This record gives sequence, structure tokens and C-alpha cells, in this order.
Amino acid sequence: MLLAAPVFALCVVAGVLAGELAGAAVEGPVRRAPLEVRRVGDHLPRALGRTVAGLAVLLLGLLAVTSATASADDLGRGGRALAYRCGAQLSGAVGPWAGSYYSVPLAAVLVVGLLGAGLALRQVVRRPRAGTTPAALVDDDAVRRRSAAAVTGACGVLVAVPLAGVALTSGVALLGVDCRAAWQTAAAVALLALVPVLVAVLGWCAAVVLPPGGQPARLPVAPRGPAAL
Amino acid sequence: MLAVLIVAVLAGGGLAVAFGLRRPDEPLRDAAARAVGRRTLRYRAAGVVLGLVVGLEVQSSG
Repeated sequence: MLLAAPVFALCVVAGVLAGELAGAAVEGPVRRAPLEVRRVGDHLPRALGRTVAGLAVLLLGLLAVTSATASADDLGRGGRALAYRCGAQLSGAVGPWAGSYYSVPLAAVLVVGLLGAGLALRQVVRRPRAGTTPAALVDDDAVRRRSAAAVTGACGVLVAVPLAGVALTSGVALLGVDCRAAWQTAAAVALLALVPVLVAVLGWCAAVVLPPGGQPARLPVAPRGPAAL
Repeated sequence: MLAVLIVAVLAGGGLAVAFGLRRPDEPLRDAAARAVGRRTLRYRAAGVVLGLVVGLEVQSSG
């Protein structure tokens, strides 16, 4: 599951990127284009974008901590357990723990996914305009916002599922330490409390990615003439 | 796991709409923009389907 969700997100990002690249090039002896500056930030959904960015920072920070504190498990495989010592007589190890064994491939997938998302967002704003009339400009921006929202939602899936997995395993492992300190108990509870929040964020992201964005939510209002009154 | 994901999608989507975090899509009146919208939607849908298939394959093989 730790890699399945990022793979799903990568495919969604690739789909958005392919859709933006697949457009026919503007041709003809006379071409029109408005003079404007389009920025990625103007098309991103603000709340979801900030949430996903915050979760990405949290995930990278958590992976850094778990990787730095990981030890080998009972079979000698490095980066898979959390070793502890409670005095001279009592020591042990709990796992699974998101050490380098898990965090390195996960971080690699995350970096690839985030780079791909950046590439897709860059293409979203660089795609040529579909038209130059005021209505075309407004609708073209709406299409760009839908694509940018889909990429942001895919990034949310990319980040939320691994973060939920790492938070869950880390929280359970910390609670398995026999002589844990109070701050470790608090950290474990906080990590476990993060999981339902991440499930809700995952639903939010999926709701952005999955619904069709090309169909109008409501039909355009037809202009009424005297005969219609 | 699948049931949890479905519930998460429904709950998260419902909450996002309820709290105004996700607004319904505006209708597209311009024909050229509608064509672009349809094209991007087709590719995005293909990415979602491909992602589900490959993701489930990764999940089952892992």
C-alpha cells in the first residue's frame, strides 16, 4: 500500500500531463494570443495546495527522524526496527519502523512524483490559449484550474497514504517500547490521531481527482427573448 | 481496505463540498475550451484507470 498509492498518483499526473501535451498546435498564417503572465500559483486550489504542501513537509520530516533512529531487526536487516535500552538489563527492538529500508524507496517515489507534478503544472500554464475572446479566456482558465486541481489532488494521494502508513506503524511501534518516556507516548498518540485526519484528506483529494471535470455542473442559462416570456 | 477507501472518498468529498472546499465545476460556454476540457478529461480518466490497475497490481504483488 505504501507504494501502490504513489504509483496511482504518478499515473494520474501522467494522464494530466499527456492531456495538456496532446493538443493540436496552433497553425495558420495569422495567429492571435493575449499578452499575459500565467503563474502556477494562480491556478492551484489554495486550501488543498497548502494542505498537501504541509503534509509533504511533515512526511519528509517524519521519514528523516525515523531513518535516523532506525536499527537492524532481529534478522540483521538494517533500517527496519527501533531499538531501545531501559537500563543495563532490559533492551529490545520494535518494528516495523520506517527506517532506511522503507524510507529510501519511498522518498525516491515521492521525489519522482513531485517532480512529475511540477512538470505537469508547468505544462498546464504553458499550454497555448484555446481562444482569445473574453469567454474563451475565462473558460480556458477554468480548464487549467481543473487540471491543476487534479494534479494537486494526485499529490495529496501521493503524500497522504504513505504518511498514514508511516504514522500508524511509528505510533504502534512507539507504544510497544516498554520503558517509553512521556514524550514518546504523546508522540505516538499524536501520530495515531493523524491517521483519521489523513483518511479525510485522502477523501478530499480523491473527490478532486475522480469526478469528471469536463461536463458542466449545470447547463448554461439560455438568453431569454420576448418570445420566451 | 477497499471499504475504508470508499468511505474515505465519500466522506471526504461530501465534507469538501459541504465546507466549500470544492465547488461544482462551472459550465464551459466556449466551444474551443470545451474541446480542450474534454481532451484533458479523457487523458485524466485514462490516467486514473491506469493508476488503479497498476496500483492494485503493485499492491497484490507486494
